[in-house]
Amino acid sequence: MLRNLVLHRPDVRIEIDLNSRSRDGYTLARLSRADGPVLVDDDVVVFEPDDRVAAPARVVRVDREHDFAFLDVDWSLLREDLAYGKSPRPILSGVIGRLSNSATGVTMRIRETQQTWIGDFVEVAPRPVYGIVAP
Amino acid sequence: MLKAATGELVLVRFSPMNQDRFVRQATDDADYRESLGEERIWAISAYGDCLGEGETVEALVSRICEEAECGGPRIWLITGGTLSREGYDAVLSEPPPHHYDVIIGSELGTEDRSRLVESVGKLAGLFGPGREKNPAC
Repeated sequence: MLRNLVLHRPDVRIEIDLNSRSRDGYTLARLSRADGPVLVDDDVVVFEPDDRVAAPARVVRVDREHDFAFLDVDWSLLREDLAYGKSPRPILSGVIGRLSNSATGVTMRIRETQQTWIGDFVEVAPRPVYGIVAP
Repeated sequence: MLKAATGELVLVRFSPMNQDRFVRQATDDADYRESLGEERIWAISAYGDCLGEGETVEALVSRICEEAECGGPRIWLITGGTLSREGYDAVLSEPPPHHYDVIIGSELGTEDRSRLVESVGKLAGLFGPGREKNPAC
């Protein structure tokens, strides 16, 4: 069962000021405040640390010379930032954690050596369950 | 709740609301203007509209929060009159709807960061007492 783990890399997170906008109305952010590479058309997560809120966004364009990303934020999905303070980091070997299914309450240990990140969403076939790898 | 006269501009600022983050946003804004080939002007963003005849400030703030392409649980309020008296201009800069730039200054060179920090701190202090819960949340 665990051989069928499908790992999805978590979206890059970028800190924003909730108010800031570019001239064409997109949210203006600094590339240097992202925790990973930012590419045009990528899905990312924007977050505001004081209010601890986050929302999904799409990268509309980047200006690497001036360190700017222009983001189309889905404000309707602005929510409490559950990942705040839990920065993703690679775990390369050993028992990598527990897979929890919030729907069923089932928790299982993942024992195979597998590269993943804390906070990754994990799908297990053939009966898919979804969860978050806990540290 | 804030008091405002009919026709007066009321501005809503979402998070962050602290001096360090104001300095950062004002610097980002100046960098952005420079990247467009414009003069370096330090400003922070907010959302606003003028109080309509018979409209309460509460209703105006609710309308701004619902129509602004933005969000967050906390807001800070200030009137255009207060800003003007303290030497700050609020300039409409749509899109998105109701977006304003609150101009801090244009001669705040990076070599004289203390002036920027002082002016931004004063502005944050003006917004500070007007903290409210976002009625749209």
